[in-house]
Amino acid sequence: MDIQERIENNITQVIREELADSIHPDKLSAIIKKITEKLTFTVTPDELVLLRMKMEEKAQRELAVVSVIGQDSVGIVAEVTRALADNRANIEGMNQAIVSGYFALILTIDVKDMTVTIDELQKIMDTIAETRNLRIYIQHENIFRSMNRI
Amino acid sequence: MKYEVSEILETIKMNALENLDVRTVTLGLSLFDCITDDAVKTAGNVREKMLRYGSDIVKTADKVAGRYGVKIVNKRVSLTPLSLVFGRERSLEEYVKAADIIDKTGSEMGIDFIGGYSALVHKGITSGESAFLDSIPQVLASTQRLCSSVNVATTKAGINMDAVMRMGEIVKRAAELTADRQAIGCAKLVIFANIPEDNPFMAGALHGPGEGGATLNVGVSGPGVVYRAIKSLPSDADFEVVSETVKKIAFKITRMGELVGREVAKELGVSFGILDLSLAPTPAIGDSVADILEAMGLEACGTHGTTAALALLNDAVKKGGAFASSYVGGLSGAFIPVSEDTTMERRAAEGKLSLDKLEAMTAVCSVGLDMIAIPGDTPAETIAAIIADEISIGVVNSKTTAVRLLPVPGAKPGDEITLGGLLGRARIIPVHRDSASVFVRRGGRIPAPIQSMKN
Repeated sequence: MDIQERIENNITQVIREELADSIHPDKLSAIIKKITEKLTFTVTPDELVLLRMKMEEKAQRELAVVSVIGQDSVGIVAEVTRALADNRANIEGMNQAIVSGYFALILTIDVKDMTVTIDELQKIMDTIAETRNLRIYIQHENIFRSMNRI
Repeated sequence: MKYEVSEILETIKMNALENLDVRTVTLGLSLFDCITDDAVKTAGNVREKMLRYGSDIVKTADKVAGRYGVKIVNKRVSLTPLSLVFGRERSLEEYVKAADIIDKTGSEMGIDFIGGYSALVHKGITSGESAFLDSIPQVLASTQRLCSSVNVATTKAGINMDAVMRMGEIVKRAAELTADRQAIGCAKLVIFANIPEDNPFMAGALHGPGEGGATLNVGVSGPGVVYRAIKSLPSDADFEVVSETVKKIAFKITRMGELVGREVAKELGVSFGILDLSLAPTPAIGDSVADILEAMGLEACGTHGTTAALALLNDAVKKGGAFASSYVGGLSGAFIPVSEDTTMERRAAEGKLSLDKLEAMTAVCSVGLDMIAIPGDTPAETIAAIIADEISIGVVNSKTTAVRLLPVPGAKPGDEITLGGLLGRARIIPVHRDSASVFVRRGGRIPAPIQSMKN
């Protein structure tokens, strides 16, 4: 796919997501053509690299690991993930395992935009853990990195 | 997923089930800018400095602990040796009053111990230091948190036997003044050879004169983790396997400690000093250094083979830890505090672990004859001789050694004392009855050994 096609495809996708069918296809292609032209003449390759670096910085995540360990029961995942959503912790990964008869659910979450601190979230999880007879641990990912990666 | 499930579960297992923790974060403060001519006024300045740098230490440590799901058991402060800060000779009342101000500040901050009621007298004792040494028993009896350490020898200076004899008497006196509390005063008093300037562990912590303004030193712990790893090996696993297992665990423990320590230092706005790579036992079940030695294949800690097992353990801990931390310091080695290690205490009570074997063990680990309860009628000269023996191991081998003995008044071999908390309990173990009085009372200094001439 050449560069022009890639830019056009991306812009089309964004506009479609935002406006769906409310925009006339002809109007859409006119807008896309104009934006592509503008970009071509106003942005230099160096600026594109800088922009990319800035955006990556912004998008950097801060991860923590939530480990739920104990006896399996109905609705554990729902309850834990609801608590995470309520506090704006985005789930980045999920893994479930049965370790020597015990249920282990391990979630990787992004805590960057969380509305509470990790220890506050731990307290919320502690109340869930208590009612369901589980153990829930929340740990910043740095501890796993420092202990397991050189 | 970025991390394997097994890695995550292993970390949780270490923290939740195997007593892995950061044993202490110790804030070292230089007091040279607190000095005035009035000792009590100086203590007021010390108080102000402790609060300025450390009033948030408990809150900060708890916050960082919460972030990583790791326990930080103790928060402490170590100070410039107060004998240097007080300088000239003072009256006993002045020393006690000044110590009381510092001690109360510690309780305000919510920390558990303050180290630094200390003197460095390895080559000679000034008149100020002499009065300071005399105040130690009374200060330990009237304060709760303040700990004392006295350096009586270095490899470079030799052994100040006058100081050793004085310390024999001071240990006795400290025991008498706290006779109603199982000689607890002695649990806060350590006599050293080659004292480190950056040790975060009590009771021997001080902020050496060569240190900077404010530094955070960290001591990690994890005998329980090492024990379980050794226990899971087949009994015919050879020494390479045993050593590698300990090294890998030590690496992980150390990295965890360094991460947590650096973060606490950053939040407190002080520099990170060192990480002390020590395996420090606690009275908690399964958190024993003696258990590790027995897991290696000894029927009881104290039997033949114990020194070799301990040497292997100590060496592997250092090799694994040295790679994991940028700055290793303090004592860095396995501790063998008898009353604080449930299995070691039991073996001593059974008569399987003698004082003589403990002394031999200290040649290959840190720190020394630690938390050992001995009969109350042990003469000061015998205590001084025990100190001299232990200190000479440190001096000749260019390492730190130390003595923390509790001659519990009225107690006889076999009696049991309970100190509570991390200090645990102890059975009184016998000492040799033949006198060393003429030897220790000769006075003067044992010259520095030939090993010191390295230049």
